[in-house]
Amino acid sequence: MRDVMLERAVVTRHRAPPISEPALRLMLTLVLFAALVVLVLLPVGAILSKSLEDQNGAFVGLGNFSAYLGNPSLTRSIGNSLLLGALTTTITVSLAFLYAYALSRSCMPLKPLFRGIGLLPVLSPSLLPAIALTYLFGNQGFLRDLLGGASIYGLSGIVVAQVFYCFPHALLILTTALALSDARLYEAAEMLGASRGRMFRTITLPGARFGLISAVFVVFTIAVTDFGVAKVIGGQFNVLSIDIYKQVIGQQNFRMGAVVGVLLLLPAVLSFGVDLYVRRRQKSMLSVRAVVLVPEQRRGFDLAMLAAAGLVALFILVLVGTALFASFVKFWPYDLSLSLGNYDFAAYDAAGWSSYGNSLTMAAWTALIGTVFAFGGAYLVEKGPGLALPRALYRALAVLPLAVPGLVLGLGYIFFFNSPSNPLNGVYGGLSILVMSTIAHYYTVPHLMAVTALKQIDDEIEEAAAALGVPFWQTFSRVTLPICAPTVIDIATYFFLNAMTTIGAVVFLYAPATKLASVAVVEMDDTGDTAAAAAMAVMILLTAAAVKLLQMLLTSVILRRTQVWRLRRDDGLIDDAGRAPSGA
Amino acid sequence: MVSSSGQTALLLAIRGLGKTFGRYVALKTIDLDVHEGEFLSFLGPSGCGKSTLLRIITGLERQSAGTIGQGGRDISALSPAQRGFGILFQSYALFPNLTVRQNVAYGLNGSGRAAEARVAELLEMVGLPDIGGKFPSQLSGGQQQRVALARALAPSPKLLLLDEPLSALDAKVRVHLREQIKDLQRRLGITTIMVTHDQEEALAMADRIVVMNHGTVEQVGTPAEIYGHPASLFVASFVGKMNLVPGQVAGGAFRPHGSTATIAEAQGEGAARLCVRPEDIEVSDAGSGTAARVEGVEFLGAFTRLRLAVPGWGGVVLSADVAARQMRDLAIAPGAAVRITLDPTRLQLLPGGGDA
Repeated sequence: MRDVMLERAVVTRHRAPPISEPALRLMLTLVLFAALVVLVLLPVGAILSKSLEDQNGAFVGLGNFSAYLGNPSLTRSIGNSLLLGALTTTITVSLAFLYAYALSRSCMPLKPLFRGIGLLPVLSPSLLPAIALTYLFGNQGFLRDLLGGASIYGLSGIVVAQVFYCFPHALLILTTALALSDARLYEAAEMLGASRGRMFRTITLPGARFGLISAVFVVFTIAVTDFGVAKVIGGQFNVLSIDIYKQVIGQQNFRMGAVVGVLLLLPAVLSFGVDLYVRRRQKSMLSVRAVVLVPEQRRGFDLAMLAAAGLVALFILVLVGTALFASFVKFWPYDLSLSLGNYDFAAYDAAGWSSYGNSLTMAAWTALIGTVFAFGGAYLVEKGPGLALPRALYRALAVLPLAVPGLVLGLGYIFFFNSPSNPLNGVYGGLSILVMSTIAHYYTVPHLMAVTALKQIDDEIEEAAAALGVPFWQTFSRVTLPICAPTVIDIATYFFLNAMTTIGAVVFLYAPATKLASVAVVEMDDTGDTAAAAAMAVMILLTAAAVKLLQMLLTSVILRRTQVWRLRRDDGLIDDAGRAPSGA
Repeated sequence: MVSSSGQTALLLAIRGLGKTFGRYVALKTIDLDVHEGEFLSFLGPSGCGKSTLLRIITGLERQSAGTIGQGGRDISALSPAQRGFGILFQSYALFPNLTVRQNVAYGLNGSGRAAEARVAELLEMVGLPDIGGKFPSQLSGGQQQRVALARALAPSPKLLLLDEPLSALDAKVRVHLREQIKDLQRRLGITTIMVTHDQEEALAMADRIVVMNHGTVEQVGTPAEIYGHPASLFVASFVGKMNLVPGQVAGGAFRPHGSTATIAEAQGEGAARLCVRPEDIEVSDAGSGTAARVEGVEFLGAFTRLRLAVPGWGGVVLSADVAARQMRDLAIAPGAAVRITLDPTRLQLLPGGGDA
């Protein structure tokens, strides 16, 4: 060490930036907050107020609701929706629990493969399993005789297709819940002579109970609010989501649509509340000193688990395979020779391939803008000093979209943006409203992913930079963003995948020139061009799979290139645990 | 509050500073002067407000009341960047994705040769000249904290603030780095404020110590003053080991409860406590002094700590430290009878009763 005169320092500190940092932070926060208000709060508000108005816009209180409830054919759909939700939820959660249990608690072989198959449905539009089912059990289905005269069109078809579609959502929640277990508890129970069954009842189930509750509500909400499956395979079985579509698109009765929309909000809001509660509880359940449970080999049990998981995986693969195969078949079931004829979309639909192009463009914009929006918003809310009130408001608004079904949001967008008095009226009918609604619909999960990742970075990092006189945007780009790069990629992928497969909100908002691939699937299936619909659904699936692979590749490259500084985790600065799976 | 160090120019004048979080009062009306070139330490238990005070001085937190003056100017409204103080955190807070060199250069304006030279100069100063290309995760905790120190010093701050800088390190490294920081501070003459809950650290490093409790300043003074003449029961019991003998002052004498023996001379009237350090109790196995019985023996290496019951003083139990050298001459075991004497010049009386 040698003496250094500090006065002699040749290099100066950073100069104070031209605009004050707190002012800039506040401004950005308010801008993003205003965007959330416009994209989420006002459309939902519009649907609520619309449901209380009559044809001429006069306030009628609950008049529309009593009119709706007075119509027996409409109220039947409430019962149908509840029955459908209950069946789908029971079957999906049971199968997903079994599958998750096999993945986390057994020593069965090929676990990564099974995990991949289990999550595969996330990549497909909800219509794909429905179309596959019509090929298998429909009027001209291969296996129609197995049903013994019963029809796949109706409740049973919807439930089977929805089990396929909801399965990965439940699986993600339950694998997380089962992974959070403390091996010491099992060791203690074993020492006390507890049987396997008793351990399952007294340790495993209680440990996973929050995950189970969460999965039940998530699946129930998807099942009740999903529209694509019921549209394709529902037959005469009316449900609430079909009612909205019929009222709005078929009869142009927007008020009744709004009434059904408000009814659909109820299970979603309830599920949202439960999920929030469960998240809070689950966090504190496990102490940091817990020991991770490593399953031990038990031949019989492992084989049983393999068989069970194999059956579920087979179910998923058969549906995906059927759709894939059917899309290449010339004329099901009479001419099974292969051809690419079904992919000549122009022959079936005026939009032709352009709807696929629209979907790509829309998904790319959604991923780009949505990622900047979600990560930027989370950064402004989580980091830096002050602004307690705007932050609390932003956080509350950011989780709201989780409680709004896509159909309801889309209807709200019609009411809000199609109103001539709205200065944003110009976006109506364009690609931008599709991007806006998709970002809004899927905003919550990316927001939470970003918040989790940002929370892993010690606040003192930002404070140290601030004390060194470096403006926050410089620290953001040089330090925060590089650390969070894997999460940013996850968020972009999440937005892209969902934008590719979504149907709920956009089915109300597309114009002929901006028709999306998922909408084209519904329409082509509607006009009887099922093979082309299957082909388009397969295109969506393949695109989503390619993006998913790209994400994995990109992430592994980044992790490899930055592994020098990501190496040690003992200081807790960076942690991959913060990365939520993108299918959640 | 009095300070007894040599008076130099005033760097910071903290006046009537208060901080509340909702209804919780973190700081109550703090008045404090910080002088140019001194090493000041805020010492207190967790939750006493010392870190909050430090964060308000840095500008990371805004006070609810009062002012902070620097050179006659109120800097309360300035951002951390505008204040230009250097900060060292307990967590080091190094940017994990930047190399050591980039970390140290982070607060410097420009990236030319001048900045490079400055970085090299600082790395040499903290004794790590060859690690510029490494990432923080490749360094030990002590090395990381030295890099953080270099980074804080790089922009030549007028004031260096240390927030529990050593508490994340293991004991050996802690003592070594303690000496290094103190040495660097003395040579650079940079005014430094360190927050710590470790009284040994404060006593070893600081020119002056500010002892804090429940959001108030209990005492300001040199380490010798704080240790030798604690101004309150809290300071007496928080800094070092202290025997507190409860009793009564009457007629110019202090008598412990339940006894008529006079231990010390005293002015005034009323309940009081006699403070005596374990090392100020003289223990012998015979001769003059008050009779005591050895209740417990704790071997601590350089010295042995005895627990002594003194029946003549109302059965009070005292801790007394006996140096290893002297211990060898005494035949001491639990139950042994000994005699003790107190050094009258080392005694202090604090008014008040009850529990400390």
